[in-house]
Amino acid sequence: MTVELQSVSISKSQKTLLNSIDLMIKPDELTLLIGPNGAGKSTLLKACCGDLWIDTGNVLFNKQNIESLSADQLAKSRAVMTQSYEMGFGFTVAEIVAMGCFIYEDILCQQKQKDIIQEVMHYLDIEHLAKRNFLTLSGGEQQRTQLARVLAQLWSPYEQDEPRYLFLDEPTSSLDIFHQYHVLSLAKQLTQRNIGVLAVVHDLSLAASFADQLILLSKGQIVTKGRPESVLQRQYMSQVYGIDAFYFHESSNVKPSILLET
Amino acid sequence: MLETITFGDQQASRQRLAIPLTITLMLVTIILALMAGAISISLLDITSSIFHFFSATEPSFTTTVLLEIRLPRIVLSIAVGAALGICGAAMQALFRNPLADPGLIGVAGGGALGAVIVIVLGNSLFSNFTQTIGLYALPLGAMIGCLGVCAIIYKLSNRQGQFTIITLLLAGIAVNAIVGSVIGVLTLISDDSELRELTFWTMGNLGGNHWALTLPVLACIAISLIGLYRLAKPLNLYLLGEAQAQHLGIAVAQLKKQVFFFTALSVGAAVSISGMIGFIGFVVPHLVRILIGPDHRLLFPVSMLLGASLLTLADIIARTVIIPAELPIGLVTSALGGPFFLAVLYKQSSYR
Repeated sequence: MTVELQSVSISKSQKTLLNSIDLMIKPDELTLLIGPNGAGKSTLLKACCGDLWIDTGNVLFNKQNIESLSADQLAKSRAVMTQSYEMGFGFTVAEIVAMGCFIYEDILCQQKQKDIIQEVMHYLDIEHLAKRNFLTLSGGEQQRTQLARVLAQLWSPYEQDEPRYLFLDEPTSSLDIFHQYHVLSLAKQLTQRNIGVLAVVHDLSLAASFADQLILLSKGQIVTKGRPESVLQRQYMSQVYGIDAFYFHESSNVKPSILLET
Repeated sequence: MLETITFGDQQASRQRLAIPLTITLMLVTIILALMAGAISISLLDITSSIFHFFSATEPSFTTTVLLEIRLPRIVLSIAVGAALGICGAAMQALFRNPLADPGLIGVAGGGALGAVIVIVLGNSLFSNFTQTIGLYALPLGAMIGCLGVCAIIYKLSNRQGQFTIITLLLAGIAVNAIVGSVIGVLTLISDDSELRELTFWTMGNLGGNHWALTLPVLACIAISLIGLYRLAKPLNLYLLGEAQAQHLGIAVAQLKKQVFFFTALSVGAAVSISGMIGFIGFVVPHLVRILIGPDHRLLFPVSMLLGASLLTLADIIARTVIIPAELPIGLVTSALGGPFFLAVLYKQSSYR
């Protein structure tokens, strides 16, 4: 069981956003998506979570066509964090996180839900903000709050036979370096609970450190995919980003990184 | 946007007290409204009138005043106030904008158009129609106007099963402009008495309605209130954004349709009988949100109760300040609501 994209193409007002993408997201892997601005990363992510009308090709979600699944069915097997949120109302952090419990609201008792909310807030280090107004938080704190809400959606049941998925669009964009690493380690831990994770990131060193599968996207097409060390090759870096850079991993004691040449 | 910086136990205690307090406020205003008026009736007389009602004796003058004049009017002001309060909150949620209001998308304007058509053209063009349905003609015209405008706006902005809020808003503005010009033309061709009637109608009035007119309106409003209240939780999630709500498992297109329908139904019913009453739908939810936060499960009932109390209070003012004449209630709500709201905004912004 996977999320599978079969030659998916999407175009909008005659501009091709995605061009025959073939891709498989497995539940025991952390798949990271990289590429320059406008490469189609967010579009690809939206196609996977069922937000977009697909022109040609299929998106199979656990072997079912994604367009045949209802909002409720999808919500039970995948959670999504979008790039931006348009919140104009001052809910508290705890209230926002609690919204992630909507799908199992009728199944779990209040106390269980409270435990879940407490747990995800603890994981994302926002317990101390629980009663704060969301609108008064800093960008990074808001992002962690939204992430906690998204995680809450997948928190119950802890593990299940049918794989679930987590889609994150630039979850680390406003975070400090500690929380960037923390969030991606958390994503990696989720893959041990039969949850597949697909995330868009911009930081190549971060991508090199955590990805099980790395996908390099450019102009709506997959340039290459695979292990980080094979994707983050000199030739691809200059072809896609126009930079002279290489993959560097000194020893198993340190994380790999991408070094830029002067 | 306008909420206080931090929430703490202060807000939690406000949330606990909100419903009991607003219920008390509503009961107090009801009693005040029973007592005050062209003839003032003491609390004692009210209780004895209630006894009179249950005993089969010939009703006294005060009993008649209470049961035939004041009570229907209070019931109506409670219902219309509750409808305006909750519909304002629902519209603000639907547009995810704390400044939205049923007047904004042309719902109330449509009602006004229907009513003005009946007032001005009722006797000449559709005289058979107005004669057969008698006193129902005006509210029915307003109701049809409301629902008609809703249907048009909905149709315009609904493409491929989902409508975009911005189109809805723009369509509302366009419809309001058209409605305004048609009303203008009708005003020009109306004679003196029609002009007077339509002017008063657009300023709102709760008086002079019989139970026969009030009951259907009450039914429509009751259905909508219950319907909207059931959508409180999904609407909370909807405030996160449409895509986000969909991701959390809400059938967003369907939710929007329902909110739209219930709002149109109850605003239509309210406008049809009371005319245009401004500011309640806008100020009340806003104020409640500042005090207890945006959670619709609490915001809806509290806005409803506060809307009902404030409109009843405004009606007391409307019918007592210039006895024996009456002020149009729409003037009272706007005259009091506007400055009050400005003061709240000023106080809010000085916190920063």
